[in-house]
Amino acid sequence: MKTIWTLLLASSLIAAAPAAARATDLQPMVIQGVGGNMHIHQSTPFPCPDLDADVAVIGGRFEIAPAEGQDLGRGAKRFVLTRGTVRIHPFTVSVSCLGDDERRAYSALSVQVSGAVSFIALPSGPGAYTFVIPPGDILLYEAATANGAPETGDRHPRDPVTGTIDTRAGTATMHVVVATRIHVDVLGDFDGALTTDLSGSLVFPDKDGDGVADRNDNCPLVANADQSPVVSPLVRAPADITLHSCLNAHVGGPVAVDICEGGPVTVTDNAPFPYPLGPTVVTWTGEDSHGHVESDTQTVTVVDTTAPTFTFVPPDITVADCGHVRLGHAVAVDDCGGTPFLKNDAPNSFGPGATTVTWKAKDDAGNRTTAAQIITVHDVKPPVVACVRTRPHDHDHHGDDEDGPFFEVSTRDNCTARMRFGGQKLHDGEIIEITPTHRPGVVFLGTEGHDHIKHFKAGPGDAVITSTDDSGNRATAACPLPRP
Amino acid sequence: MSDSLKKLSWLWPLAFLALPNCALDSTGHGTGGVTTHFNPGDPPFDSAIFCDIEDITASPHCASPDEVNAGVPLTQAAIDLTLNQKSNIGLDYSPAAISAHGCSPGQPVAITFQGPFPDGAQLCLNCGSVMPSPYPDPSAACVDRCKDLNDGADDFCASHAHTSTNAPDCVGGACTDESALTDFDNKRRTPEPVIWDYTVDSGTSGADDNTLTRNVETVPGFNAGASSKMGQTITHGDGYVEFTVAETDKARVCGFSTGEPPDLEPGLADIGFGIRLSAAGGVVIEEGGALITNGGADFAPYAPGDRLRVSVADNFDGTANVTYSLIPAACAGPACNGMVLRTATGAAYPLRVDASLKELGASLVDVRIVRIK
Repeated sequence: MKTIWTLLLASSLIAAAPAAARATDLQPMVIQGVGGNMHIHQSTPFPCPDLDADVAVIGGRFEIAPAEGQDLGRGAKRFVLTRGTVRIHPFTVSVSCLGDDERRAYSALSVQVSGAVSFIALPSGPGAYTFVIPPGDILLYEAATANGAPETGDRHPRDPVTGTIDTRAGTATMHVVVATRIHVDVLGDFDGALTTDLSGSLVFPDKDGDGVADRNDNCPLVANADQSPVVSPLVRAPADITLHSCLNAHVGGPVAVDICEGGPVTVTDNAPFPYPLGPTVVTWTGEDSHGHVESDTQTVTVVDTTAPTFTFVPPDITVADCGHVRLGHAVAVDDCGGTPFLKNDAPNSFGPGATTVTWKAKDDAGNRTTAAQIITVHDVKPPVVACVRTRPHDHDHHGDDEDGPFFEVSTRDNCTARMRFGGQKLHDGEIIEITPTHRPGVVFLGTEGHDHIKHFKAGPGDAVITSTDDSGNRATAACPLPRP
Repeated sequence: MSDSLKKLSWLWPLAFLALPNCALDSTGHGTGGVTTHFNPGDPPFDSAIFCDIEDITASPHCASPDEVNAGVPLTQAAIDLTLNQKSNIGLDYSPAAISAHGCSPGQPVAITFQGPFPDGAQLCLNCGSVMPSPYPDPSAACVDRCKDLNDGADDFCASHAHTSTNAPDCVGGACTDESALTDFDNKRRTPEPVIWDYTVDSGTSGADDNTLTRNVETVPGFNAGASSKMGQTITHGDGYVEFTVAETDKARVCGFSTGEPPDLEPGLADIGFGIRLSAAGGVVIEEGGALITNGGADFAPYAPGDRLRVSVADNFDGTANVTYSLIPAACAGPACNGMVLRTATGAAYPLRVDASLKELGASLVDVRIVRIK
């Protein structure tokens, strides 16, 4: 019988299980090696010169999840900018105007994305996207050390944050403008801006840490930096097993796992049913969702120690008389096939009461089993009894009227019946002598002659033979006595 | 530097405040002007805290299919930390939340965070200079940061900002030069080594001292073992315990039992949900003292290097569903979920790690637990 299993990831089988229960892998891609430039421009009141300066971006890192984005149709994808940090090269700003001088030294400056930002990226080419994040959606957090003191704060950009993601080239860019403004009494407001252009390289998730990104990895869950082929799905047949019945199909479960991607694996086996006696090699085959097929074998050996089983035992029988009973036919089968040998221990004739008939079945391997059938004789049939005139045959009696008369008594019953007369037991076919008398009752006078014929005297109407069977059924027969 | 200057920040006034009659426009033309409550202390800001701060502008609501697809269930926070799965949406599957928001059965409530969940927003600060004053603990700093992000929402922040999953303390070395680092030793990403206690006829070893081996056999049988130390239990949420196979010819059991330690019973009777490795190389299950087989046979064969995992998933009623799985040795890392061997129900929290070892030398290697602390 061919069995088909579908083995899924642990987490996909229960509602609240992790990871694979969700359709989207939420690992982020990382923009690392961030570099670029921050241009500082601040207009100032005449005659002071405007401030223009460029400061290098010396590092940074962004995380964007999920790495492959959420498909929105027509090539658009939704991403979440979960984290972002940019480090600016230390710099000093000096202003000298109208006889006043000021100098601020930024020994450390970083700008972080304050909160996660969801944005939509639109396709701009194969694997390339552009995005625009409204300024109100993104908040930037500055952490700096200026003139040796901490300086922190949040600010939205002035303009939409724009950028590109090119998954093929593995690059990303971002353009951020933050407004500045100073106010000078009488003269009014003077605007400025920090314009930052960033670029970095994309690093995609690498679950097995082999240096090959999952999206390019031939087996993302198994470390194979050289991309050598990995045997997947991994199929490990159950251990070899010895069964004690051809019908036992419990040979254990296999291991079948898509070790590269964790996807579902469909497993089939070619196990026969029932198993034949002796060894059988079962091949377990697993196929992953990409059609990759692997297999492993298991040897299943059947050593039959299982007795045959009765599929039918004739019902218990109750009869009204002793004698032969037609039992019916029992049926037995064996787990390893063949016809078990059957016999029973029923007597030829069943007596009164319950008799257990034991049926026995034996298979080819000598395993035996038994079953019981109960035959009950509930005897309600009285015996048949007779007393007829006869002559004795021995030489001690000559048949003249000085003796006798003589009677032959007999009884018939399928169960055992016993005759009695005058307190004496009589056996079937026995000849007795009864002398009629006027005195009522029956008197045993003793035995006579070589044949030990029992001699009785009986009053009128008292020459009655009684026969009683084992169930207490009784019958009588009057012996035809002449008048005394 | 004065507090007011700190709050102005953003390179402004740069040098211009020195100019006569010059003032900073701190309102920032309608795009900024955020008042700073969060005080990172004095430089260097070389440590970090991690905060879950809800977005006041996006009230919890019944999750859309897209949000379900892109969100992280709250109960899976600890597991998703190990998998580096993150989103700005948390999903609350609790019946109470679903009912409170009138969502359809099974439709979770989406909670929008102002930072990645379950990682949390990483805030660089000098813990030594701001704790215990003005912040008695990191959560207080999270509340202040929430106030920065949600101006005027002090009451909201008091109840919707706190430290992130498994990040109750400051993490030293997580920042440098005021920048949040991502390559620091983030212990939240690594399953926690089980700390064995109440050992009977067994000892611990390994780099993390989390390998348990039977080293005394006075009486044969499952009468040696240990359990996790007091406090190292799963009290809610999803999690798992996992161990690695060394030998294939000795019997041992590892899984969960209900109740806080101490556990002085080294046998099988009190192991509620355990994976049993047989001395014949097969995997079966032990549940409450009952041996569960696959119709009299093994659920699967096991081999050296395989990992066996007992996972629990919160039912929100004080119990969890249980899943037993086998992860082949070839599949490395936390992303490998392996193959389900069996599922069960009714594991009552709290759950401690429990183990029983039969033969001398029977071992459970590198036993680790993932849990929401």
